[in-house]
Amino acid sequence: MPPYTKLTPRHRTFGGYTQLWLASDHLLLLSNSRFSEDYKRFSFADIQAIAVTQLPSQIVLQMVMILAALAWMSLWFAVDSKFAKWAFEISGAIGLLWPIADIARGPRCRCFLRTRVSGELLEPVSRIKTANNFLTLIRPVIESAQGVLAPETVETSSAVLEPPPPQIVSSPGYLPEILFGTFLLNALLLWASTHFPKVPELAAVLMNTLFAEFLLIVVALVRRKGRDPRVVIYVIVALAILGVAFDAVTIGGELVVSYTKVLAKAKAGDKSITPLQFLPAGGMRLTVAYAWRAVAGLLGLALAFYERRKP
Amino acid sequence: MAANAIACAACSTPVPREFWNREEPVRCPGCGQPVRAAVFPAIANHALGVSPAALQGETEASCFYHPQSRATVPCVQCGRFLCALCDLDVDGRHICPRCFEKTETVEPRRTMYDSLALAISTFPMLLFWPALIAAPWALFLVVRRWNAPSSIVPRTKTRFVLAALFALAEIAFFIFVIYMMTQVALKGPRR
Repeated sequence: MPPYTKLTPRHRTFGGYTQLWLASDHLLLLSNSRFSEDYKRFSFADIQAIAVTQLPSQIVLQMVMILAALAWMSLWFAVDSKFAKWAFEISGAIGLLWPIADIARGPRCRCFLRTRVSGELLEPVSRIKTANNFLTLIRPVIESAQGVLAPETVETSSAVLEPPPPQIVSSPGYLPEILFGTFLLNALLLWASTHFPKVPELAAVLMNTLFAEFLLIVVALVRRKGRDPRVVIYVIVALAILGVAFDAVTIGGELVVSYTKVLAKAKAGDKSITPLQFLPAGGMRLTVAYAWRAVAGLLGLALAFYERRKP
Repeated sequence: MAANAIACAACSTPVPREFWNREEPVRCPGCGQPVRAAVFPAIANHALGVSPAALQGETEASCFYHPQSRATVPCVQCGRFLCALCDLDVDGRHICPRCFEKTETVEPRRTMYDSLALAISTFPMLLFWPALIAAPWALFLVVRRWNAPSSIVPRTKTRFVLAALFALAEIAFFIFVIYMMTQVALKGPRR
């Protein structure tokens, strides 16, 4: 069994930790998952490169957390109970400790180790301080096994001239098309719910399809990054948020009115059913609600089809 | 994997060759973050493997595992003839894949019985009664696995000792509880 020397501190995760160890002829990446350990060995002769990149500073987030913790702790003055005072202080101190410890540990980084056949993220090297120590220790050891890379070797290496691997193109999916279809469906249901107020099932269906529409907008915008190169259709999706916000105000008002009506009728002993109406019949707001959905649906479907066909 | 794919660890943009092996970090051309690339001579090694030579005539020795390939070297352990594909160079010794499997033990994973015993001796106690079964089980695990291979990196037996102590304390406690319950049952409830 080769004797191992600790190279980095433990990088703790929820289910265990990872750590780097040094042996006489290889680097060991240990991944502990509480009840078992997995080992990856990298022979010094095989290591081609180690790249360390400092990650963007999180000072704004850390400051916000410190201020939030201090604000939480200041609730000491707002309560009378001794228990509540100490509860705020202790929980606030724990919240304060995390960003302070994070700042004290220094800037974050990400480290990749490259061999001819693999690229491995070295999770234990997550801070610049650790990375500097790690490189100081590992570099001479690898160089003693391989020698030092001469500048002319870099220039003449045929491997350097190899073309980069082709990019993996991901499929854009059909989520925007489904969303535009939902716009059209909702336009139809809105129109029908006001023309056939005595059919309560329409309002029930509409409640679900309007919620689905909102969810689809959020999911489509979140999933877009890196998957869908189309642009114009997402402008329509973004503009639809304005329409949804406009409708949300109207629907919210109508629900309050409807609830007040039901309450008044109940107090008066009237047991007749009050049909639920999301938008006032015949009003301008109703016209806007189904007009923008119809326009966004039709335009979106047409543009989605056009942009998909575009080379 | 191309050598120019030595990439920024944050944005995967290739790090230009003039930035390799600098003492101070340089700005990544992709994300602008400071990046250091320590590159070693193995970067010039881009051979992916070897192809065995085909037999040229009936008089040539063939590989034991690939009869159509020309043998280049015998296995130092079993003596079988090996082609370039089957020849494993282990510290300068030529070994066939079967002998390599028998002799080399490169473990990719180990079970940590000490952590397991400690968890079994402590967590069930939170629900009290499960510890009645878990404590003897933990003690059995400590005795059974005391000499089992632990981590390949230095690790003490502290967890095993703690697990044994907890398990013994729990067993003693349960014996006491059962004894008291028996006494109460025999003497009857106090008036």
